[in-house]
Amino acid sequence: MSYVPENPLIIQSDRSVLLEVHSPHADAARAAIAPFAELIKSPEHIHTYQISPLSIWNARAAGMPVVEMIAALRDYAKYPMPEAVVQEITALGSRYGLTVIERDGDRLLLKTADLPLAELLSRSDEVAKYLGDRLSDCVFAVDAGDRGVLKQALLVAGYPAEDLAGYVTGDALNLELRTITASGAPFGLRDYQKEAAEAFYQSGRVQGGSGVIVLPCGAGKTMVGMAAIAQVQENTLVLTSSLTSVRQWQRELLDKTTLPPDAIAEYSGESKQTAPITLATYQILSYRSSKDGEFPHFQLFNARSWGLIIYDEVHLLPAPIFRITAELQARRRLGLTATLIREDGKEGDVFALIGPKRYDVPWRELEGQGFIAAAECTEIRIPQTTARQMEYAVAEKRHQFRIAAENPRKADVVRSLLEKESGHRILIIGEYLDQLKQLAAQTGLPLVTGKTSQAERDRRYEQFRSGEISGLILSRVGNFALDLPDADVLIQVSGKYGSRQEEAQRLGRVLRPKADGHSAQFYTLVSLRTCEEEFARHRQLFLAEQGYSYQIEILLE
Amino acid sequence: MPYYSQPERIPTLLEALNSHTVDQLKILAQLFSDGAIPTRKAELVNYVLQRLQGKALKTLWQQCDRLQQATISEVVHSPDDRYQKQRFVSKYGAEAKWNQDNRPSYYSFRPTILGLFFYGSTMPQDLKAQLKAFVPPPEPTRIESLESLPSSLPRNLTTYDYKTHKQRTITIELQLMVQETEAIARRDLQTVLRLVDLGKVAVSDKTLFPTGATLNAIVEVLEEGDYYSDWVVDQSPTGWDYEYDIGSIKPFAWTMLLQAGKLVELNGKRLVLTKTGQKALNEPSEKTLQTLWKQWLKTTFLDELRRIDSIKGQTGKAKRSLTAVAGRRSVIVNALKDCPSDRWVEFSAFLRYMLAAGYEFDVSRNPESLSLEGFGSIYYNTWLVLEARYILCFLFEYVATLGLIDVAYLHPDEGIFILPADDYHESTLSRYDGLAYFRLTPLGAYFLGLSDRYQPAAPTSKQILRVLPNLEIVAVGELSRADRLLLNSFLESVSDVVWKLDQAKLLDAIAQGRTVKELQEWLTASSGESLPQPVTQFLADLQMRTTSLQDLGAARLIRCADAALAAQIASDSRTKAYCFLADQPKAICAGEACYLVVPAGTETKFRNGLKKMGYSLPGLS
Repeated sequence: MSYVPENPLIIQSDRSVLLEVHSPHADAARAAIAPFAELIKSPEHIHTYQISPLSIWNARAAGMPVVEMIAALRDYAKYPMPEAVVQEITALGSRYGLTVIERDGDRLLLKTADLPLAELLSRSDEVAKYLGDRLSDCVFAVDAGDRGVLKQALLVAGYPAEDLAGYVTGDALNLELRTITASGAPFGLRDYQKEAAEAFYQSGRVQGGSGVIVLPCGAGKTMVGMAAIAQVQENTLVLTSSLTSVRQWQRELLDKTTLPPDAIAEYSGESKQTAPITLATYQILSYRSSKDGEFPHFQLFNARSWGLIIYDEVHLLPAPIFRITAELQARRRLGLTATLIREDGKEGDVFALIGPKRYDVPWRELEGQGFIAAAECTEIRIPQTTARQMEYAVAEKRHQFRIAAENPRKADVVRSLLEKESGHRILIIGEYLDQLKQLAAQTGLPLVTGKTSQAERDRRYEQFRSGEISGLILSRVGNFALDLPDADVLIQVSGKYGSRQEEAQRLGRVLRPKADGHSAQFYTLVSLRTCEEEFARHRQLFLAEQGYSYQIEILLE
Repeated sequence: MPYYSQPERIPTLLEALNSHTVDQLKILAQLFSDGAIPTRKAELVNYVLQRLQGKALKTLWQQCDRLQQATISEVVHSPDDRYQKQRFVSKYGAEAKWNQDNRPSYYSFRPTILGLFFYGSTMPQDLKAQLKAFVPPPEPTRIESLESLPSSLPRNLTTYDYKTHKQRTITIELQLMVQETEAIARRDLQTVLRLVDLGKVAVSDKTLFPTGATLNAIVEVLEEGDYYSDWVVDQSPTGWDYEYDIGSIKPFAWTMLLQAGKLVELNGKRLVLTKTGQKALNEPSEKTLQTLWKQWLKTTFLDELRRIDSIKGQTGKAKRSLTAVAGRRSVIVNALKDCPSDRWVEFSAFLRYMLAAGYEFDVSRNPESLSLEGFGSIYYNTWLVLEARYILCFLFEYVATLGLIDVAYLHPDEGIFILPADDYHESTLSRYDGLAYFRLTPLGAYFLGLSDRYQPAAPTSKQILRVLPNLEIVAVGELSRADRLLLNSFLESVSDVVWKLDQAKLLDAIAQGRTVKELQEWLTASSGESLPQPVTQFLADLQMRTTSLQDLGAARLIRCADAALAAQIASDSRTKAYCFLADQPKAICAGEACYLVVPAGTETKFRNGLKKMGYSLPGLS
């Protein structure tokens, strides 16, 4: 095949795939490669997908044969596909399913596709230690407690196991989704939410029941979790990243399901109750009194016979939870996240222990359908006074960032933005409390920080939701799991050294769809000619790569 | 050059006849069929003279055959009085009959009727004046050309069968390679300039010829490589193995053209871009090509004959006999101007035309002083060996490389099938011997003054790049080698077709003389749309950073014994104009500054001022 200019895909030798979004075949090509290629960047014009061992195995786990992957790439390739890529996909794809874990009464069996592979694995230090008796040439007995760690070891060895050992049945739970919410609004799952839940549960077959659903912020991951509980109909443990998130789950469950309040319990620093649906945070579970001590709250995993464990924000799952999850492989596990990318690179552990990706929808698609709001990002560069610029210039490097971040002139810009966006629901987020306190004093908006009590926070959030107050100033607590669906303007006065995750989370606060369909506004205030510009550039790249429109404005002296 | 017996000019017929012997005059008189032939010389002269006047002369001219009439016509309507055999044969394909004997001896004198018009190949001027009254001008010299090329050249090859002891003739098909050069030259120019800019072009500091590594580096980046880069066959259709080691043509040409055009200069052993060269990176290629063409025509930087490896002795004594190169080029260029645009001209036809139309020049005033490898001194067919090879090199290596002519060529070892026959030197004499046809391009026609304006073929408005707001540049079309070089010189390569705008890399490029504007314009042109705002802002920031600091040159840092002295020197009218305090502002404000900076340019004045103040600055310890 030679050069086909109208085709949208450019396949590179590093297994990345570029998709020209303006090509007439772009949609078809996207649909064809999405099952086995991870969307890495989606800036205007060109989207970048990465084909990795995990993405291939995710696709194989979903039943996609290797030839279909290669055909999809060939059909839409602009240039001839590098032969090395074909060989790599073939080699990697054919490895999935060569090892299968099955149940045999009380024990588990690891079956290999052929004798050489059995020999190879039995000689692998990492894998062999989890293998029990060799029952035949290609079958090993496996201790049920090693199911998770064996899957991890097999993944590292490059032979990910297909886990068909099934799940234990948890205590029954009677949960139905309402058609009219408790608050009286009509409710129904969106199609993609239904599809995601079904892709996870797979009608109860052993091929399903564990895996990760990837949906962008604001796409209703909580709804997918509730739909999954409704399908499994067993006691469920929901793990989230913060107490605010716990409260959000609680609110949603009470509002949109038939569960009575006493069927939902919160396991947190404030309350240690369990119920058919128990909501807990990663923080409480991974708490221990000393570095080498026990994790006292791990007992929660055995406190009830859970039929399903939901890991919210699975990309934040801390290491201790991974460890305990390795022991919970007999229970159904659902991961919910906006991104499979983990800053610590433990995507492989998510694959092995939670399960393969079962479903994802690019945010662009949801934005197109009006399920999440479009966002416009504006970076405003603000000059410092000459004296402050000099102070910045002669300061030690480690202090420079803070001097720039706390540029007093940002307050003027905040005020003018508040005027400009008057009538909108505005969140102001910053890193430094002194700066935020000053802003609170100057603008009269309430401030919520880590020191604000949970009750006070909930009160402020409720005031914001009800429209009693038009704006809130948030410290870092505003980064995660904050359910303020009407917020449509976010002003970031200082950030945390260009963290991509922080940026995504903050932006996620304003991505809930707006009633009139207008775009969300995300302002980042940056001091001109300072290191903040550099950090802002990292954020800018990230946001641009996510496909948000990004503008830079420079204020003159 | 005429022999001594061939006078340049004979004023009168009478003088010419008088220079003949009686016997010769009698033979001339016998050419007239009327009357008795006198015996005395004066009468014989008068006899012939009378019959070469008025109507008799016209009748006599009418008795000449076509070629004889053409011979007379060529001289009569030429500023020259002499018959030019080579020129005539080139034009008419054969000579007229000059001698009654089929195999005349040098000493025999039995001329045909032409003997009455020419004396030692020269026509007497009074006779020429008479003839001019009725002899029509000769047919104009024409150059043959083709609308389109055959895909192959059929040639007869005679071989000798040693078994049957018989000769046999077979027809072989020689495959032509064609290269259309105009568009390629425009892009190759940019490519090579960028390669120079990357410091990858080295030349010998003595000969200024490119090194082997440089030739390889250049051929790697040229859009279509060298003329013979794609030549993979090692056996000719004749059954012979190709033997001639062709070497490098285009890469060599570009290195020499850029040097002659002063777009590059030597820095150590590497070429670097001059300011003109830097400018050329941003100028339309055709403009730079025209500059290179004009410069090449007058350069003495290289005698193209040096590229004919088989001609030896060029750097020895024979060098003194070589003629000026500019004169030779000018003759060839004049002949090129007669070629039709956009039609293929066979090289051998062009050679014939040059001779026929009088576009002659000499490479050497003394060809014998040069020698031909394997043959010794050059005595025979000097035009074909020296001048023709010179023309071949000039056309193939320089004119074609600059995009003035398209070329169609065979392997040099097959040159014997396309060059005029040379019985003396039946071997490949140069890497250019395979040039079979050429065709003037629109660019060539413009450079030669045949058309008064040049409109470059509109670049196909294909979008080859996408500039993304995340500062990445993706090649979405097929990139030329020049494009890739430019991308690599400015940007960080991320993967096969992705580059990233990286501040550090760009600052390096800028430090090497590139400009943000150049990159910005190129990105805009290559992406066919305005750049995303984050990208323009990134480039604007970069531009600001590159102009925020200014190098003011070297200076001396001087420590004074105390702050008071430093302040005194810095404010004294005799020294304050030549120095300033160098301490941090805080130290200056606190009156603790004791360092002075003296720019190197004002050091002497500073020292003088210091002396007047009663201080002196010791040398560096």
